[in-house]
Amino acid sequence: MRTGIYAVALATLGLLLPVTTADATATGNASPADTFTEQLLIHPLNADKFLSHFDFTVTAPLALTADHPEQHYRLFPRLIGQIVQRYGIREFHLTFGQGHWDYERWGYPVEPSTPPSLELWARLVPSEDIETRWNGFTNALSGLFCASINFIDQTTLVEPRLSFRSAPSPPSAAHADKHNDEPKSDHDNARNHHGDGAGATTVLRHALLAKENVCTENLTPWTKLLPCQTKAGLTTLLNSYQLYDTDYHSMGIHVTLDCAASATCHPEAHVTLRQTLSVVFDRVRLGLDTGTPDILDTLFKRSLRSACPLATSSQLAVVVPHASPWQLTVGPSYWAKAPLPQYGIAVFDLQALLSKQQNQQQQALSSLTVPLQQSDSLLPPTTAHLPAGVTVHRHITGQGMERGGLLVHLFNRLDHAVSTVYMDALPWYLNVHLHTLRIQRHTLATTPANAVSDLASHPFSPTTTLFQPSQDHGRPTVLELQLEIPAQSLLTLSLNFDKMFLKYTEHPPDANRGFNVGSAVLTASLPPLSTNSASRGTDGPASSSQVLTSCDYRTLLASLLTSSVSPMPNRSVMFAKPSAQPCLTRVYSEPFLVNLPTPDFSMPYNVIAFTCTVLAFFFGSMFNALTRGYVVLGRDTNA
Amino acid sequence: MAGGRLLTTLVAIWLCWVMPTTVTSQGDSHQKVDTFFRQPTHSNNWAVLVCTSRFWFNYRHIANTLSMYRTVKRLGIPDSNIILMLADDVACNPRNKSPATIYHHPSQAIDLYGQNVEVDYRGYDVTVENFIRLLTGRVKPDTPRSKRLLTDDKSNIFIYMTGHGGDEFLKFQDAEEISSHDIADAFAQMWEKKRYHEILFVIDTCQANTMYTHFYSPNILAMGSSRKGENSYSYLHDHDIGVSVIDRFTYFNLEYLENVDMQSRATFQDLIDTYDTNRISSHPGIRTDLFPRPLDQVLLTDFLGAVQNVELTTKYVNLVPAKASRVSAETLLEPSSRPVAKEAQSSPPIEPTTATTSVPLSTLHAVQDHMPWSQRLAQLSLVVGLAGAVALSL
Repeated sequence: MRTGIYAVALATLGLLLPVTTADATATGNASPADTFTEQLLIHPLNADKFLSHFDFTVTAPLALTADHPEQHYRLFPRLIGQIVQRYGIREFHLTFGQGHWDYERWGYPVEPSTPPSLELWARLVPSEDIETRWNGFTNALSGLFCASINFIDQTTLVEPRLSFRSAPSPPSAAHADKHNDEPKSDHDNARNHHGDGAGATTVLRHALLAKENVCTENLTPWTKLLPCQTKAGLTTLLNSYQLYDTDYHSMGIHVTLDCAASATCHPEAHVTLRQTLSVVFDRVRLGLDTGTPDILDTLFKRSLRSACPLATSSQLAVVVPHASPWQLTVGPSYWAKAPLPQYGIAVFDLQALLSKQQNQQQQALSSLTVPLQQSDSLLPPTTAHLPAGVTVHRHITGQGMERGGLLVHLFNRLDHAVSTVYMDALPWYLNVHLHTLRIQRHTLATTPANAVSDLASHPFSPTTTLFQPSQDHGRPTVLELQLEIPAQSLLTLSLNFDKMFLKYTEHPPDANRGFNVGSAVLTASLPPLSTNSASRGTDGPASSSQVLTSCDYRTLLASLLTSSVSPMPNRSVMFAKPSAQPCLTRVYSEPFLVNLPTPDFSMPYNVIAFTCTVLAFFFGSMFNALTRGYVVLGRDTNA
Repeated sequence: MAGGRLLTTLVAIWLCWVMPTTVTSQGDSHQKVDTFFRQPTHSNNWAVLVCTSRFWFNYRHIANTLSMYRTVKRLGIPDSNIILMLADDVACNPRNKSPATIYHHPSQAIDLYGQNVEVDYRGYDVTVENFIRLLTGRVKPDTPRSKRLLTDDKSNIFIYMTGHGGDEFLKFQDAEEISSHDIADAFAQMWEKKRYHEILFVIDTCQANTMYTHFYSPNILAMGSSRKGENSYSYLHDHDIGVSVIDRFTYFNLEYLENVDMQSRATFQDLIDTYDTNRISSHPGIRTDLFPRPLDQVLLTDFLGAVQNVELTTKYVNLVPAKASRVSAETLLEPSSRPVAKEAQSSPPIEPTTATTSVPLSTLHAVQDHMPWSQRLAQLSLVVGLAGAVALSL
């Protein structure tokens, strides 16, 4: 009895001690442990399309080792924290998508992952039990986000060796500030940097589920991870009826530890959770005529009445290209002084505008209105936004159920050569013949765009070719090509494959619909604010326009955050100096649907029925004939 | 089981001892108090809602399932206790004219899908194997909590299935079938593993009543939409999206259940009495021989709602200090404090006790406080003695 009491006392002491030490380290930090920022970017892509991009970011310390099982979760969701801890995850990116991002008309997206299906890529700590951990990880995500992520198995899983090597990390000033505030020893920083450099210490895995849709059932758990859920702040705009009535929808969860690339992590790492939601609205579907008194009401059919009180910063930014037919009619105090001559950027600080406590002298707004008007001079839609410089299209060729082929077009419309990596993972039932791989180069004409100037094609060879042959009923074919696409040229890849037979039970219930194959991924290394010259000289006002890359968008959002501390009028956004290092962005191709030879699924039943009939007749009559005793009747009576 | 029965016995004995000494009026108030203190015999509620049909033209089956989802959620079962299986996505299907919605009526009055929905098994995950594994608890170790049926011997489970079926089978995704024997054996296994207290099994498919003929485990109440040889027909057709939106049996169930709230005393008998075979176009069946309680004593909320230990009311109630007042329980149970029952037309007269959700504590104090101590002691000793006796006999 007494020993029991001692044991309990010791246990409680043991529980208490780490808590107190953790508290001590936490109070040692000057900055608050968890920070949460919310941003909404509204951007007219052209005369007809509006991009809305939500970005919710939580940064928090996270204990990774078993020495600190206790965790105090404040703003960071415990569900995500436990997944990261339990399964040894260093970084994961989960994206749900629907619709195709039109690179040719809309430029690059804010968030580079744009597959029209589900994409998951993650870095894990290598260990013996990695398969078990991976299974647990995908199942946990599946339960958390109401999706069939548990269907990611060896037939879809890829470990890329050239692509996805370094995530495009934003040169965020906020991020840098946070690092400066932390009383981290030089040793730790050095180790982290070393870890970043040695990128091969973690296992990188990538998978696409080509037939996974996204709907409110995925948005519901997604919003429940947010500190304010859908009660206050920008999340109140998340009206599912509007969000799914769009041309393009992409919802993402991005979790990154600050030591993502290395297996050895500081026991108290910082973790960043970014939840992003990008939608492209169509003007005709919105029923929008010439202009709107409030773009928020038009897009979301909701009004913005509050900022999330837990957020350190709550911002709405409207980026309008000067060449756009849309104009934002707000006072000069909202406009940010940005060193982007082609774009006007208006920033609304929701906490200053909507909370009465912080803004005594000015009359606080009951709800925010953002008037977006169409100017009288209707510009042609194409001039508002220039196409992305590097794009990829993939087509399926051939006919019949036996053979097929792929044709891939890689465009580089830029003035300089671009270093890219093309990755294609094809399921095992497309048996790819590597010897049929042909790469041709064509030169693009300056006008009209996308036209091939001379029909002569030149053979082209990739810098590196990595090929992982498939295994039947197992791993997919993985083709990774490192390509230096010359300036103003088009590369054409062609490849043949045979279609394989699936086993009867391997067919999905709707096998006759065809089999979805996920997008190919082109990782391109682009200079930030890459100047596009595809239509240079043809259109006057658009000639000097620049296409924003994903990195530029991220820089822009990060810069807006750091400027939020300045008082409302005379805002000037200090952009981070465009770094010399190029931006790694990803471009996704179209997925495709392939028809495989499918059996007549009623055939087994026919065979069973037929066999049973024959057996019954044969066996029955034979048995009857053999066992029946024949007796001649009536002889006695007749006699 | 034994614990639950013992508790109810004790409560009943205690009530019989206390009530005659305090409550002035006789039979009527007895009944009121009895009904009020009648404890549910289960402690938690679960729902397994299965739509087995894929493809856009089966929109109505998803609407059927979601109408049950809406009802159980509205009656208080949390999402963590609801396993929702939908074999296809019609809400965000490109053919859906109003995305992220599923309606049961062309008037689009109620969005069954809603803005807060969690689907646990979807698409290819809806298979016979997964359904049987879910019921029997033989899931893979990695299965997340939201995909498990974590029930015990105090759980009332509502199982709803819909899809295309026939004589003693139900098709899953047009690719495989579950037979009535499979479900019956799964229930038997659940009973052996103490995974349920009572089951309500409802199925809306063609020849649905054949699906429960083979059940043999106790405490199962089973309902089906049509007899053997009968089809179950769809109801309203929405010309905007070009499909039928709901099946008749489920539609008329939903119509009744929309008027049931958490405090409702409506029973299954009341629900069954509303069935009109002309409107449903088939003969709904109910199998009660495995179920011990009479249907007019089985509340709809025993299966479709959650056990509520705390109920919130918007009514304003005057609490009278217990010591000062000599009020009887009768006046405290006055109908004036009853919320206005909006189901007045459709449901039978409500027991007065429906309304007393905010009063019971004060009632108890009033009842107890003017009881002499000696009497209370005697009563306590009697209860303890009885408990001991029962415990010994067990």
